[in-house]
Amino acid sequence: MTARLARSVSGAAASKVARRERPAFGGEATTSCVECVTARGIRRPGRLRRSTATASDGMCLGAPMFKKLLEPRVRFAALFALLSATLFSLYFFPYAENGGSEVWLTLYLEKYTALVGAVLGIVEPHVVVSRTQILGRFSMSIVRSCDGMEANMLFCAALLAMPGVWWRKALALCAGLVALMAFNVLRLCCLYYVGVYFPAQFDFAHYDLWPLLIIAFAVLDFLVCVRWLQEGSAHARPPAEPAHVAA
Amino acid sequence: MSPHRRATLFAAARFLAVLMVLAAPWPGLGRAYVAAYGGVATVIANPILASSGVELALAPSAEDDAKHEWFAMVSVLDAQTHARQHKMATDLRRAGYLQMALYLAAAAAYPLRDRVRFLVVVTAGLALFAAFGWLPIMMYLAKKQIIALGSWSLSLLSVVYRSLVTPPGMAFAVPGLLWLAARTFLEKPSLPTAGRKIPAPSVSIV
Repeated sequence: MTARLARSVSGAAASKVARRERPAFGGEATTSCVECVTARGIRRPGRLRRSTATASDGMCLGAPMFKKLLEPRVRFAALFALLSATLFSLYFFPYAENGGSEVWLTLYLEKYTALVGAVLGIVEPHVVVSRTQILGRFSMSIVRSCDGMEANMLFCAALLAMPGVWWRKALALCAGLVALMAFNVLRLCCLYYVGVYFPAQFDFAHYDLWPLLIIAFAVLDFLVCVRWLQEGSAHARPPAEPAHVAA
Repeated sequence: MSPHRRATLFAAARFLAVLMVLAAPWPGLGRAYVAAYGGVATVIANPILASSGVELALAPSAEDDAKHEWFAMVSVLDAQTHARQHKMATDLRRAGYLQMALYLAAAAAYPLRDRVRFLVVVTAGLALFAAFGWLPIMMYLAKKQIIALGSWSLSLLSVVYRSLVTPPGMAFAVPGLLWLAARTFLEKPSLPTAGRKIPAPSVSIV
């Protein structure tokens, strides 16, 4: 009956009717919210099943505010902002200088420097790595955010905020992070050679060119991962039933 | 070439063109920006800082210092005697200008259809990114205890500063994300949906 009403009367009138059909307090709603039907303008069988929202919840799940909040893009934006804020706060929090977090961070940066030194060492055998410094024809120091962590964190937050199968998401996250790390190692090696051959352009490459490239790469990485995630969801979903045609 | 691809290419070209024009190292641009920023910033900040008994003065670096053209020399002066108490330098290109350039480039590449809304969003974004220039100055003033911040406020300020200004990549990510959000949530749909007819499903009962 609700669905018929939704098709025949205007949204406001229909919502009034739906409200009348709902029990006043406590009981389970016996019909889906008419606004869900009228707002979309089309009857969807999945939407018209018996609603699990109770009147004691105070508001139907399909009420405009919740509908807006549950909109995929709003949910994605909110989740992305929340995850980014958390990750950035964890990484950039001003920890005590001699605290455990700083020790871990320094250890991580030393390992990162060793990795960059090892890659550079393939073509530059005289490069020496000392803690977080690379000493060779040009000397570089790897400090916080030289590891491209901002791009990594944005990528993680964006991917985790996407809907998808968890194992595919985890796989995409690992592969994407490895790709980002490889790109950042390439950036640092490139900066070494810019420092060797074009020292006057080092600041431009360091602060203007490569940051833009690494963010662009993170976006590309994210898009590739999302495409792969969506392909997985498409395979997992059963094919839509064709409309029945009268024989 | 499909119209969609052509539009995307045009947008990318517009983005790069505006970005290159704004971010190119034009002679004198840095000093002019620092001087203008300093003029506005001191007018806003000094009444707020009056209770602390200090005044701020932002000036461009020396004329012959070409390497630090974008640096603002921030002096903290005694409000009574105008004697200098502290001095620091901050790079306003990385703390605000680059973000503004990126934001304008993104806005030029993918403008909003509604002009009023477009102007409001661009102005609000530019004001927000101009405020980024204040983050290093606030950090300095808080560390020197010229402005009193609690430990939590200082930590929050530090996280915001380290997240938004210190990493070079964020100068490009934040304006892009902000413009993307503006486009996603504030752009009107291209076609009116109210009057659109929805075809009835072709279901017949056998």
